[in-house]
Amino acid sequence: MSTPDSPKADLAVEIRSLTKRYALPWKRKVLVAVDQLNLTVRRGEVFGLLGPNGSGKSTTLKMLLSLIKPSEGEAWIFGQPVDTIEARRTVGFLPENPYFYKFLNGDETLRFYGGLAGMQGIALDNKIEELIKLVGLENGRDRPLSAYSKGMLQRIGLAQALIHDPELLFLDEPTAGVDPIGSREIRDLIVRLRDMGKTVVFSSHLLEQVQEVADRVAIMSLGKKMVEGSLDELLTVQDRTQFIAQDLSPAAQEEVRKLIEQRGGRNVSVSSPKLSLEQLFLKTVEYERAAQQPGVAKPTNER
Amino acid sequence: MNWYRHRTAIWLALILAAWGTLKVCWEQGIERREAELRFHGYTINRDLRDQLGQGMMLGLLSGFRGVVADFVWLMVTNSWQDKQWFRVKSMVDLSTTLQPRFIPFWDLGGWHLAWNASVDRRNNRDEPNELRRLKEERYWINEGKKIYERGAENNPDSFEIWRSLGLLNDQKLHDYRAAAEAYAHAAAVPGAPVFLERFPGYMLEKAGDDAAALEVYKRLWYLPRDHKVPQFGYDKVEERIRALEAKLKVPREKRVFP
Amino acid sequence: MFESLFRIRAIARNTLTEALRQKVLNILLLFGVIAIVSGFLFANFTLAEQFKFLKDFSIGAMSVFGLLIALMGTAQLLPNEIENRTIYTILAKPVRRSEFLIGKYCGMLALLATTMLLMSIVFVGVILTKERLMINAELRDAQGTNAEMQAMANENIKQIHKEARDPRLIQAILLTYAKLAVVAGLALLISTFATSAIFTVATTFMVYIIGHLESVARAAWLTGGSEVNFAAKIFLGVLSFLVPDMNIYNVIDEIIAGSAVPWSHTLNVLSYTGIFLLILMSVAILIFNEREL
Repeated sequence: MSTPDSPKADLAVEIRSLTKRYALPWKRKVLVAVDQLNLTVRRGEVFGLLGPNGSGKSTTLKMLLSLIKPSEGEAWIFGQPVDTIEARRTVGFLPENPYFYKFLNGDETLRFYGGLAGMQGIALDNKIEELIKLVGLENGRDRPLSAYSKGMLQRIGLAQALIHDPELLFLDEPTAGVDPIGSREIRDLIVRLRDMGKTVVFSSHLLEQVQEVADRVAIMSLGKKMVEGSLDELLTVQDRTQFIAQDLSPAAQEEVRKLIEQRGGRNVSVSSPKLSLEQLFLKTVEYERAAQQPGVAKPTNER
Repeated sequence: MNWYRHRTAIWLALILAAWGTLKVCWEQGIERREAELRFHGYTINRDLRDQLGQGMMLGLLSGFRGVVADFVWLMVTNSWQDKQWFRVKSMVDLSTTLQPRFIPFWDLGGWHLAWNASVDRRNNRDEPNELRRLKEERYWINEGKKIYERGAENNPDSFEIWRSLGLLNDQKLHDYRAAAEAYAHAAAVPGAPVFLERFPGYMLEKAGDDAAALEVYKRLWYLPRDHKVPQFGYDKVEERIRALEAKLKVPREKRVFP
Repeated sequence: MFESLFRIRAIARNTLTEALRQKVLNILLLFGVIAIVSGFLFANFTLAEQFKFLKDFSIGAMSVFGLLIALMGTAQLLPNEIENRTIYTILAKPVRRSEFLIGKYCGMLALLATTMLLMSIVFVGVILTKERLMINAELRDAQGTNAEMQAMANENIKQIHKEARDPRLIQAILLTYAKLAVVAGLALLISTFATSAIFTVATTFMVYIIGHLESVARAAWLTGGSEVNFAAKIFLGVLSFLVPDMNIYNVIDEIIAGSAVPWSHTLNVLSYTGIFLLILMSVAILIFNEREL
């Protein structure tokens, strides 16, 4: 596996042609969960990984944590290959619908994960204090996790991911199954984490949430990355221009329109020209799906 | 690349081959040591399986030999109370097969047959023929004796079974020479009670062989020991020597106590 | 290295805490009942029989309960972690998979040690109570009798003492623990590639039973003549290479039956167990490292 140049330590995540295939022997098929993925996440940004269920978001995150081995390709976290223990010192992870140990209370849970990260003593005590406050779980410290609500579990999960003060956070569907208020709190937390200088990579299929907090997004479909970029880049329609003016009379609008047409502008309209992320998402995903439909040779069938 | 991909499999094969060889040798060593220590008195075979039944066999295969033997022994006790003597015998055989190193199985098993079964059969009211009753009594005494003999063979380091064999020869079979021999065996086992040393003498006297009895007592007398220790019972030895020397009219110069 | 031990300890402690909070120790009550019943039910048997029953049934019960925990508990360790996705949060921390597996195993060993220790305490309590009661009975019966009867009572009291305070029981308990450790290790190894806990339990139990026949297979392999055909020989050889000899732990029965078992022999069996467990864990780690979570 030759790499054109060495990984850059200033990139939070660098992924090069990462591929994951699953052999399905009983179906004589190979399922390609992630297909030749290239991706970079810069230090300090909030990165949204978007895609419908089964598009390979979770598989990608699992490969970045070395929970599964890539079939091809490589990935680095702050310049460290992902299958090293060093890479995981700088990463915090919140899995989708986490359960944790239900016989432990909030305090003990954080103590356990802190221990795993090699923390102890007063440093750990202080960190737990700080995180309990950060995620607002003061009322859950002494309660066993079996008595936690979904939102509280998500918050203790976030605290757990933050215990060893990682620079990078992977959040897999952090708002799935959480009520709107809880979901709002989690999004606020993500923004606060960015303000604290953390890099956050999160996956979601809930678009307005991504739109609200992400600096950059990638949209995945059927294991492939369809688009990647900052929200501004992606959502601005490049060949169009928008003027915004206040209190422009209809007559004046007509004048402007004529002027534009005189200068070669076409299809002038006064509607909002920005796509919503949802439109972009549906367009991308539908297009990809439609392209795959005809014919027998699906991309899931490599042989 | 190929080697790299299969490295786990290669490691596995290497570890298992190396360990397997060491393991087999080690286990053989442990087994030899166990044989020296006289463990493992039984092998699992069809006979044993038929006698035990499936539940007990599973217990045996799960490593609960002692518990299984105890259950068999409880059946001995039940059958004894019901006077089912043949069942007692087969259950005694089974428990001693399972745990040949537990002395009470032999000791009590032999006693059940040679004492309880024999007396019960001799006093059998349903059998009018006395000769037949005596024959049955004899049969059970001999069965008990066989148990003792097998037990002693399996447990050369136990004096209890030899002592019981001596008692059986003495009380039931009235074969006092054999009794003397059994007691001598019992006394020779390290850790046996010292008073057993004198028993061969008593038995030989009972057999009428006073000269041999005197030799036994004299050998004891000349052992390099402190004669004042009460456990050795030298007062009794002295008494027997004096009595036998008088009885046999041993010439004065050859007497221990002239 | 030190950090690694620190993480292993954290995982082990967590495993132990979880098991204890699931009230695994409730089986102590059941054990107590068995020990007390087998201690006092057989009062009209001889001294030697009574103590043998008490020891056999108590240590047998320890073994059975220990086996249940080692088998069921260990078989569920990995499936539970994977199902609850807690393994993702653990392995996402700077924790090696080997550390995770060793931590889990050590937690199980600690749980088994705790259970065995508490059961042993109950057992010793019962046996010492029995000793007290029996000695009191002997003294009562001997009161005001002749010298011979009193000498006999003294003999009996000596025997009661010897049976009740037999230091060899420590060897028996250690060997029982070693046996449980092997079963837990086997279950953990099998669960690294098993797809369900039921499969792990069934397979481990099968290996446990076959382990009691391994010595027979080994003998047939090493000394079997022409009556053992080639295919059978290979099968027996593979069996002897892979399956542990569980019969070596039957020394426990010899100890209770009163055989002199030298400590050197016990230590030999314990070191065999130790090395076997090291191999077992290495293989488990190799397989677990390859596993896709």
